Amino acid sequence: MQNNLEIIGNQKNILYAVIAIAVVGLIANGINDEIGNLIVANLSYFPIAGSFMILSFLIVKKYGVKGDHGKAWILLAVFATVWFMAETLWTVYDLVLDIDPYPSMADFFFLLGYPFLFAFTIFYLKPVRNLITKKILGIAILASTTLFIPTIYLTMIVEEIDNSTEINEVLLASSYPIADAFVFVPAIIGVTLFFKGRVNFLWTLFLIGIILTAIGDTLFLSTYLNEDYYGGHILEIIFLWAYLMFGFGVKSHLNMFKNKKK
Amino acid sequence: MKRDFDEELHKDVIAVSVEKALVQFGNPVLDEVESRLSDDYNIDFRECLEKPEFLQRILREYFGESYKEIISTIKKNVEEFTPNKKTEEFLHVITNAK
Repeated sequence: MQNNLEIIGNQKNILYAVIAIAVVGLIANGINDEIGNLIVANLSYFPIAGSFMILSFLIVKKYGVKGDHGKAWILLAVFATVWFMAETLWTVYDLVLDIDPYPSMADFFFLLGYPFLFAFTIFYLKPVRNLITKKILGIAILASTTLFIPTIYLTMIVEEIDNSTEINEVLLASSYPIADAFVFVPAIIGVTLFFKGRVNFLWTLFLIGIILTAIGDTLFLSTYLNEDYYGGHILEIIFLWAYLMFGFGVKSHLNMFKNKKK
Repeated sequence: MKRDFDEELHKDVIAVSVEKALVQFGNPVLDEVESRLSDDYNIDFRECLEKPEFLQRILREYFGESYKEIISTIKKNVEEFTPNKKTEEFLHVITNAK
């Protein structure tokens, strides 16, 4: 039976998509900042985050609403939709209204998405929850702290914040990696519990997606604090990769359970 | 004749217990496992009474280490019915097969 590394190695589509995003992002940024912002920070999100959203609706249609997994997939679809709305709002602020999209209502939707993602993991794991030992939970929590330690360090070394607006913006930017750490815990539990199983591919990709999101959020905080962030910054590629992982995770699950009752 | 009837009843117990355990993962999962049993081993859920190791193998393939919890759920479902030698043998094999 294939293990996850072999599966990932065989999934050439993921690799090609990762490379394609990186190449497009680097070329766009290389042309100029405006093109970089247009392509990388805005337009690229629509097909990639949009595909994830569509796939999540397809899996809801397939599984229906009954049972723990039915509920899980609905919650994932809500998460995907809420984040797609956040990306859309970001683009509206940036390209249509010409207003700095950070901070904005987009952040409300980004943060709103996290409880739904967390709830998805809970409902998916519910049928096997008896296998979650204190040891597994402890290790998962410990591992998740690695995601927000850089955030705590970055906020502690900030030299000066002039006003309450800046404080709020820093706190807002800091909240993302912390939220990532929360959803990291059930993701790593999922990878552990479904180890060596084919459904582990979904969990592995989701875990990678969450780690990428956390890296992107931490880099955003860092560049924001250093006043280096600009729309279309190369770190946006990391967020696009994260959506890619989520989308391919759902796709793998759709493809895995495709046989109909005979 | 009674023996045949009992055999059919035991098979039904197994089928219902397995379906009840798998349906919590969604009908697509239930359908997939049933299809795999049919395609790979030419049996259905009822016939898992005689060949529990095949069901265990498929559950392990899809769910990895969590197959144990699914088997535990199947066991609880089977134990809701009156115990008998056949179903106890099924539970012993599916729990311990390697």
